[in-house]
Amino acid sequence: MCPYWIIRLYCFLLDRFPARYRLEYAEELEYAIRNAVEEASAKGKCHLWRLAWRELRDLPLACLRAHLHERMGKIMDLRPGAHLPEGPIQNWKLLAVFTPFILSVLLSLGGQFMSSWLIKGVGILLLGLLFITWVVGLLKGFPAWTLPAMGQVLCAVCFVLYFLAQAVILTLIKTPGGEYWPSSITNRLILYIGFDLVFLVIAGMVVAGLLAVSRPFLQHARQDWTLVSFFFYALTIPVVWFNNDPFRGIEPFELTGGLVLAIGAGLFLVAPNRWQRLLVLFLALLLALPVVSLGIYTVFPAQEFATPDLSFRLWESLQPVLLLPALLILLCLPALLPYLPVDRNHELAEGASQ
Amino acid sequence: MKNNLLSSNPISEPVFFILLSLSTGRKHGYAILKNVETMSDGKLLLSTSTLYSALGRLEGQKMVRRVPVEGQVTPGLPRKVYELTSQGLKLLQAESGRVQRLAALSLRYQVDHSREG
Repeated sequence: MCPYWIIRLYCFLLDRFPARYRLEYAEELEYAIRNAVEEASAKGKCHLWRLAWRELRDLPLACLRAHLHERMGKIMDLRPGAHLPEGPIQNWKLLAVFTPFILSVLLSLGGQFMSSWLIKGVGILLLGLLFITWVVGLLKGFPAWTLPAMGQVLCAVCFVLYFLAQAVILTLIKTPGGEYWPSSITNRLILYIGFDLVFLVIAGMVVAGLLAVSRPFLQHARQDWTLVSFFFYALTIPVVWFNNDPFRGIEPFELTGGLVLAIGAGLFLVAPNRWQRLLVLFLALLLALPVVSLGIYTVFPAQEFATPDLSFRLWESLQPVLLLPALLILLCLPALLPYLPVDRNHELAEGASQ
Repeated sequence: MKNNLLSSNPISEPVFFILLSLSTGRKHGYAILKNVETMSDGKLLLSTSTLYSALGRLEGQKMVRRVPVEGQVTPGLPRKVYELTSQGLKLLQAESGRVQRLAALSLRYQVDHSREG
């Protein structure tokens, strides 16, 4: 076997290694084998054969080991939050991430199981954890694991402001007949485009204000803008179970919507890159709210207040998805954060103070 | 790391020689390969894949680190070299101590045994 073919065969086997391994070591390995082959061939054929045997015997096994290592590495990367700036989220912090989702599921189950002392106990414990998460979130500058819980506060603030703005707008456009809402669904939907815009502005301004006030949150957001998307995502949790009218039999749909949102949050935590994280939130939202809409449409005829009027049924069914465009835009909006101008003077001052 | 005969885990011969080779200074992979061969009087011939697998593991365990070559890089030579960390040095010392104690024990046993004989 001539030196040329030993090196060719070696390089061929080296190409079978995982890409990351090749990028890291291929150059050094090639350098080592070329030198070893050169030296062995100078010593004689016997040395060259021994070297070829040693190298070509060990290389396939090393290749297998490298692939196994790579695979194990990928499994390790599935730890929740492993790809976020603060690293993996573990134990009770992970429970804190899902607490708002679990609470929404409990609320969806509503009167059916609320009488159970176990459900009440779990609910109280989770409310306690939610409260602790709020305090820690405020003190530590909105770390990733506190965002769904902090999002509930954001939700309360945004919806209070939104309903106030909506009431003002409806009062201003009140028809002479005393009707607040336009009679046709098309006109109502057009009006809702305006409301979506109002909600968008309110939520956007509240979070922008928060980013301006909380430097740690701004730093986290600069490191990974999807954290702000995750914060906005939490706004949708109450939308799943909050209905203007009490619909009987809606629980399975609300439960499904809540679970879809929780799965979306879970996938967000394990998704390796930013666009994948945004995509899972986007898809979960796109799926969860229409599920609730479908639920209302399905159970509507069984309600006491149901009328044969299809437009009323349609309007009620559309309620959960009316804010969907605004919520979807809010999810995507943080992607613009890296393009915003950075206050270098402030950063330098902060760096100096540290 | 406990410097205890019973609690310290023995390390493999190639790893021991790699650490020993790096204890004399920074080296690139091929230099380690040749150094190990020389130190073991030609008895331990490592293949390049065995060497780099071991180096990768040791790097993961923070026993060695890869550092860029200082100054101008000679064309054709690797741009990174390996160096022993303090943790790696401790492991090497612990292993050396363990082997020495084993050798001392073995010698004492043989001596006692020969006296009995």
